[in-house]
Amino acid sequence: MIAVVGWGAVVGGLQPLVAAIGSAGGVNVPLTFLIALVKGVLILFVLLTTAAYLVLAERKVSARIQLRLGPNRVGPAGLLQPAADAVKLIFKEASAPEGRDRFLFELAPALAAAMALFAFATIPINQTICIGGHGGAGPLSQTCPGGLALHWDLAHLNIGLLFILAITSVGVYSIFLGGWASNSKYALLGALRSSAQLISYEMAVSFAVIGPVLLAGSLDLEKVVHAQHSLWFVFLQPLAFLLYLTAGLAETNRLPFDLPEAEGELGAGYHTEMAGMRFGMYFVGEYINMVTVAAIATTLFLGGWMAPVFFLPNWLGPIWFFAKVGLLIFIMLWVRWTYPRLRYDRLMQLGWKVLLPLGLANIAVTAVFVALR
Amino acid sequence: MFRELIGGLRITMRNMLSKPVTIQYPEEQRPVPPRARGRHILHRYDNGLEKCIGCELCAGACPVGCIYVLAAANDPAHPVSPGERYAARYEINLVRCIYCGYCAEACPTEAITLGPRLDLADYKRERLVATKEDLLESWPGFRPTAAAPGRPDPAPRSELAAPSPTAPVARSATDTA
Amino acid sequence: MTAEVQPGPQPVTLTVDGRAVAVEPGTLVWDACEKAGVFVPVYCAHRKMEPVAVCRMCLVEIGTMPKLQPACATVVQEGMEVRTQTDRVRRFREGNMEFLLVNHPLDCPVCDRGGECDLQDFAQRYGPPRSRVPITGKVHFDKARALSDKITLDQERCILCWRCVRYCDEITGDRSIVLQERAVHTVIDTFEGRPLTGEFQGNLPEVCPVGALTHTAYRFRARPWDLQRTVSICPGCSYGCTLGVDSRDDEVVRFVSQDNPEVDDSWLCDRGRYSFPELNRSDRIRAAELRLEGPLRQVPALEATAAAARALALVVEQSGPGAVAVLGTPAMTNEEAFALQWLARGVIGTPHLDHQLAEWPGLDPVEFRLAVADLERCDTVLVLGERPELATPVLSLRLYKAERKRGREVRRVAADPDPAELARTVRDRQLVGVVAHEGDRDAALRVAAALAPVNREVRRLTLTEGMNGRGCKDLGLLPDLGPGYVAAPAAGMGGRAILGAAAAGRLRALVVVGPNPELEADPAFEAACQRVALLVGVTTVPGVLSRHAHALIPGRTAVEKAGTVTSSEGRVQPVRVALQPRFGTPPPELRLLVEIGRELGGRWTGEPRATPTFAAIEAALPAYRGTRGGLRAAWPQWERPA
Repeated sequence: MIAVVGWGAVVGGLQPLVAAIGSAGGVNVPLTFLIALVKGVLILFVLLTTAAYLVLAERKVSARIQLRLGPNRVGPAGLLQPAADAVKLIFKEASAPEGRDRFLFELAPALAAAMALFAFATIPINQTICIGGHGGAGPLSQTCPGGLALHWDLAHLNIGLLFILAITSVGVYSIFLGGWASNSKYALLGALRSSAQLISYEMAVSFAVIGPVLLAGSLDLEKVVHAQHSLWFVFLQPLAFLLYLTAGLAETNRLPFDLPEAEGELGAGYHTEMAGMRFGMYFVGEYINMVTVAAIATTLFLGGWMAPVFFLPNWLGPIWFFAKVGLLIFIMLWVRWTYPRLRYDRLMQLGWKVLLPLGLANIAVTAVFVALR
Repeated sequence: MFRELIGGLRITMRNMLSKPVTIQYPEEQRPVPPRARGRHILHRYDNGLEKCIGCELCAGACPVGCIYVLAAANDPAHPVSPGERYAARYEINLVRCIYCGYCAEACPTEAITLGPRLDLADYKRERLVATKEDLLESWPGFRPTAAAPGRPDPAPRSELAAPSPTAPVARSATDTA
Repeated sequence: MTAEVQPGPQPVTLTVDGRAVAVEPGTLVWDACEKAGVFVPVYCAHRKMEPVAVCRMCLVEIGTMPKLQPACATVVQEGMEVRTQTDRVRRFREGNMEFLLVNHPLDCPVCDRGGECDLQDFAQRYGPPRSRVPITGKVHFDKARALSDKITLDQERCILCWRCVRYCDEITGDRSIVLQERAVHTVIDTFEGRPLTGEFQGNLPEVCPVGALTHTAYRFRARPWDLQRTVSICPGCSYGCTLGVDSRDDEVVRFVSQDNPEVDDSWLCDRGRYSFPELNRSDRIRAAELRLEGPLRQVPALEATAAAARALALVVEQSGPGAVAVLGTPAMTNEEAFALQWLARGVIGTPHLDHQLAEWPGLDPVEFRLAVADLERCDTVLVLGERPELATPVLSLRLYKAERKRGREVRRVAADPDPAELARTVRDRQLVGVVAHEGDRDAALRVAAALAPVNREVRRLTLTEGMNGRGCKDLGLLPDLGPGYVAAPAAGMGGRAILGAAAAGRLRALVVVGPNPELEADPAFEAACQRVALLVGVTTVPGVLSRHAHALIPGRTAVEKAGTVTSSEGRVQPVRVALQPRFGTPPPELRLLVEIGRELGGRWTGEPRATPTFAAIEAALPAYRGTRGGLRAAWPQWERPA
């Protein structure tokens, strides 16, 4: 618990710093800093709550798929179940194996949660709004001369997508270090599998997102959304969307790609030895990663905050955004409770021999298309 | 391959949209078949006297030896059962019992039957040894007889008093607490 | 199948259901059938009583006799052909069973006999499938009437087999139960309805083949299938009757008799039979208590033995072994007596050792030369006073049998009769028996000495007090004699003298193994307990000893331990564990005594268990060799003329 609060503070402090650096052209650094702090705390709160309720959603969806009711005893319709789970995790004895690497053993779970939170920093959930100043912010304008540009992301970076890819890669370390520091066979095997899997699918993810980036001509996520003004990229890049979703599942270690955990073979994989809040932070990280993956997919392929149908108002941006994220998350849950786990060699085969070539091909075709346009 | 993948998703989605089969157990319960063999009931005659005469034939017939009966002589002024003999202690180890119903077959006075009650979980092992007070049909104005020799008066456990076999099976949630 | 031909009268050969069998002349067909391995159902017949043939259950076809004959009352003849399995016999048995059940109530579920009832068993095996008499048409009689505080009678259940009537006539001779009324109204009852008296009522429910006569103490206590039966020896007195201990849930619920023709002849007295509640006492001592080395505390039994041994060692060191006295009890087994004797003489080194208060110098095995069964062979039996029959009641039945069935002369004379007077009337007999209580042994010795010259042989039977009074004497729990009635190296004080010396402060430590009712009842014992500096008590029963003991060590009751006891006539019989030890049962006394001795530096070879200890007894006492299964010890002194 202490670790989470500590890392929350660090992230809360880092994010405004990043924001401040990101909005280098800003006039009012203290004000920008204050706004970033508020946004940071807000995101932290929203994401942690979302992660908690995702657990409930997962259990509910799985229950319904299995013709059950799912948790319904704590609070009305089981809505207080996450709180009960959290209390239980906090008060559970955090046992730890002998011979662990003490520093890394504490660091790894915190890293998992923190990096998951971190990755959300550059995702815009609405278009930039200009407060005061003149001219207002146009659809493609991200500056607001004379006024205050309110960005709906924490750190408005023009290389936002790259930042996300970078941060999620750091998240791999939490898994690997956690598994290694545990001094346990199961954890180590889980960690090794995880590393191999994440490295493999990192490529697929990267290739998949290059399609929309080529079409939009920018790594700035807000610009990518604006580029889908007339037509969502999911219609232009269906293959890339599928590749991204597939690889995204693998990135978040979810079924059918949850080999790092593989309860049947490895106990609980890399977090076998983690108990109490250590386990809780991995858990939170995993579910926030799901949100992140869904949010990126929304941003890159589903038109971000834009209304799904033209006659609906666009100013409800955040609602559209979260609706689309929710839909994607539901699909991830649905998939999880439908398919069995892949065999490990099949997993590698899929990554290297199917997703990677398809991604390359997609890039080539898209590049030709863009060049000819 | 995609057909199969989509097929799987379709099945799970269809499941999700259909009604769950879960029964909200303590609040709602399945109807018990009329001849189900659940927890035992010790019956009374219409005048309130116990049918059990403490003959131990149930204990003798029991294939697992889960019934303990200690008989005693009736006080003619305040009889517990008709005749000379009654069961001062009557205990069934509900955990050991296999609910075969031989005790009911053996009973010469039809004092013991297996009732509809199937939910026998408890937090304490000792409480799963049902005493005579637990098993006996409740009776308005029933005055419990003196405690059996060598045994302190058991605490009243009225919430465990069994319903009659014909009573509806639905019970309140507190019944099973 | 041929039986071995016995010397004497020519055997009679007959066939039972085609099987040839040879028996002695005068044998009943019933016994011949049993010898041939053919079961014949009976109600009225009883091995110990004369046949009456009233129940008609044993009727069989014999040769060409036109009518069925009662097997229990027909004497065998050469060449007899007995058939028990013919249709005629079967039809008859079925009809007979139907008759017996006409008025028998449907009581089996509440009847104490249910499960071990001949009527139930034979109704199953030979009875008709259903009765033609409506259940409402039965004749009713008294139910559950107390004949005495021990026996309950249910007249409805009676099948009028007369066994109880004959028991009172032939076995006890008190004729207290009679048949009354006539025809369908016939019932058994006490004579003129008086309450049943006598010391042998407890045998009535056992001779009753149905549930008409039942033990009040056993009423509704258990079913036969609840019971665990262990054959052991009655703890009531030193007569040594064999009995079955029936226990349920770690409690003895009844004693039943077991036929031992040499001793009890299948009868028990009420005192022994109904003594079992004493063994179920809820206040029996289970925890060891130490009042040494500080305030009273409860400790494990073996910790108490160690503390007792340390304290004893201190007393011996300070005041010498003569400051310690050891008192046993006639209730202890031979093995325990042997261990106590070893502890006192061998380990502590004190000569002050006894097992009772009275002291009789010059004990000799000759005083119990006469076996109980041989009373029937004596031409004349002289019983000195009332004490023999008070100490061992079953003796009365044997005397009555000798008198009535064997036609012997039984004379009950004064406790201290004039020997010369007796010698005038009792003379020229082949064998004269003199039965006396051990308190009258001097008188018995005088009588025997006076009769010996005028009769061919005179034998004495001396009856001891306590379950194992004889064994304690045999094994030297005496101040002057060691095991085998040989003089001890140093004569010490006897029981009474020990108490006196202790009360006077001349003894510093007292080791008492109980329970000893004689001690507990004696005021001198309490005075001695209060005075001694160290009182080590081993007992099961709370009382004076448990109140005063500085080291109180719990023992086991007579049904919780194994070992042997010796009856008055010197018969060594095994006592078996009827109530298996469970959590909280103290170690057996034998082990406790050996632990104390070892703690004091004594050497005890082998394990402190009954079997190896008996082997040690056999080694120390040749008379006991090979007697463990219930044989009399063979004393070399018996070979000398009395």
